Amino acid sequence: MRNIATLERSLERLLISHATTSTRPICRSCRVAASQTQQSRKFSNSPQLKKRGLKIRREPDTAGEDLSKNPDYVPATTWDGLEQIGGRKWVEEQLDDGTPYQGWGQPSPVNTDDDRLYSLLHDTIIEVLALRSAGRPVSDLNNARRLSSDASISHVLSRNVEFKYPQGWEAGYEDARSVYGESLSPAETHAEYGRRREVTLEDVQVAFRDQTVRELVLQNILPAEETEEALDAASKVKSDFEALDSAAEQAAEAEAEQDGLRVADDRWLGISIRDPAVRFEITKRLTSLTGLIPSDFNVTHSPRLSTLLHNICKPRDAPQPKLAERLSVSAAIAALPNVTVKDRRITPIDVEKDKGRWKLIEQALTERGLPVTGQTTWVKPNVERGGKSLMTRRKARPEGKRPSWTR
Amino acid sequence: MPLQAIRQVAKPQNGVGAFILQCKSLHFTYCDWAGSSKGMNSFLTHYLPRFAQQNPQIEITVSPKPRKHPVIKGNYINGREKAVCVANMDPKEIVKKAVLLRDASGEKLKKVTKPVKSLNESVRGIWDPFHGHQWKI
Repeated sequence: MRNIATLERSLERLLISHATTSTRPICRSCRVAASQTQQSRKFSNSPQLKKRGLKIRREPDTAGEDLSKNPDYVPATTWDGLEQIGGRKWVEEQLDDGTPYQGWGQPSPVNTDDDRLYSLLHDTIIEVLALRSAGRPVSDLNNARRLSSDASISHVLSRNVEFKYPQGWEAGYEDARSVYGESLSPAETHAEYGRRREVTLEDVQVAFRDQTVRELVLQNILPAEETEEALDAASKVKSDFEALDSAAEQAAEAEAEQDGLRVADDRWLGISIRDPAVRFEITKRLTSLTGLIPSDFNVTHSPRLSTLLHNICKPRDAPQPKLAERLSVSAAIAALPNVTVKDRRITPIDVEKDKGRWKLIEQALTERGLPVTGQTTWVKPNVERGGKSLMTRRKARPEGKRPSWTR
Repeated sequence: MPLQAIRQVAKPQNGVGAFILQCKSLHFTYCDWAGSSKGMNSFLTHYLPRFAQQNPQIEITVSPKPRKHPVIKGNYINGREKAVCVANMDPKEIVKKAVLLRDASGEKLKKVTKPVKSLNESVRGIWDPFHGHQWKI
């Protein structure tokens, strides 16, 4: 048996060497496929596996089949035109050409103040609703160019766009407004109202007063398959928006003189974004505009636009005041005569000052030439050697001046 | 022998004429950062005003002690001090510890073996109807 296995191995080696020393050139992929086939055949025929009753599933001999079935295949007689690996030229081709990487987001955070974030989220939800009304998928949102970072677009959109909500929802919102009134900010009012009722994205419609603005918004968002026409149209959007903004500013000034200031409509913050796909697209768009990357927790725990806005703004909030500051401004604590709140640690010197002993202690220490404040380290006396305890880091006593207690 | 008047010296007995609380002051320390002070911070915010209002005779001091566990220290009229570490306790547990320190006498804890503690102990002890000569009816 042993002799037969040895004979089998040597025959296979002979076959492999015959294939490799063949004068006919073979391309790299064919060579790799052929060697894999040889290896698998070698394993499957091994006497050890046969003895244990195991079988290895043999891969079909694809290299051979492809070659025979491909009608265009012509065996090469020379190596001209075949793929070659190695050499200086090949290495240079593989190297990076040095083009800088351009990501989809901002390299560093911009437009991060709360008002700007508010208007950017407003623009983004308008883009989402415009896409939906045009029958385009929301996944196109992040093909939009970074035009929304310009303030002129936000101005134009805020003037030309109106949200339309379901009837009952508006009444509910007014209830929330009357309950919480002016004590809460609009975002907080919406957060409170949103706990009671939410409005879905499907229930909200967006109406453009000027249809040109709607066209510009849709042109700015490129389709999944970019065409030259779409790119040309998108390149003109910025200048068109700026022209609209300057015209609208003049009109708004005239209108403001007549009607006074217009109250901002914040009800759109109550729109639900429970659909993970929509939430992802909106968050990605905000990230691309601002460079702020909200944490996964904050994104997944944002059921509404108001909470998303709050969660994005939250990390940049001022740090919480210290407990001592909060207690000192507390009316309940201030009304109590027996409570004292300190804003720093009470040291042993403070305790002595409270008791009125500190002046005496300080005087006594100065007389003896001992440090009044600062650290003094107690060194444990080595009693076995007859040593005495020492105070280290003692101040040097001025020469010729003896302390009073030594006189 | 001339008749002498009975010497009568007023001896203070706490609780007989007036009750003087033995605890003079309570000092609360906390850390703004450490998690072990979470309960203490909540206690100081929500429970302290009521506790201080109920105990106007106790001087209460609150001060931060960074990077240290929260502690309540009680000072007593006998000059002693008692401290309780309240790390990782919730506010209600801390209220119990504050009440414990308020009610403490300031003395060292001792094992109580006799029913009566007196400066002038009686030799005969307390009268008891179930010991000694028993009358049969």
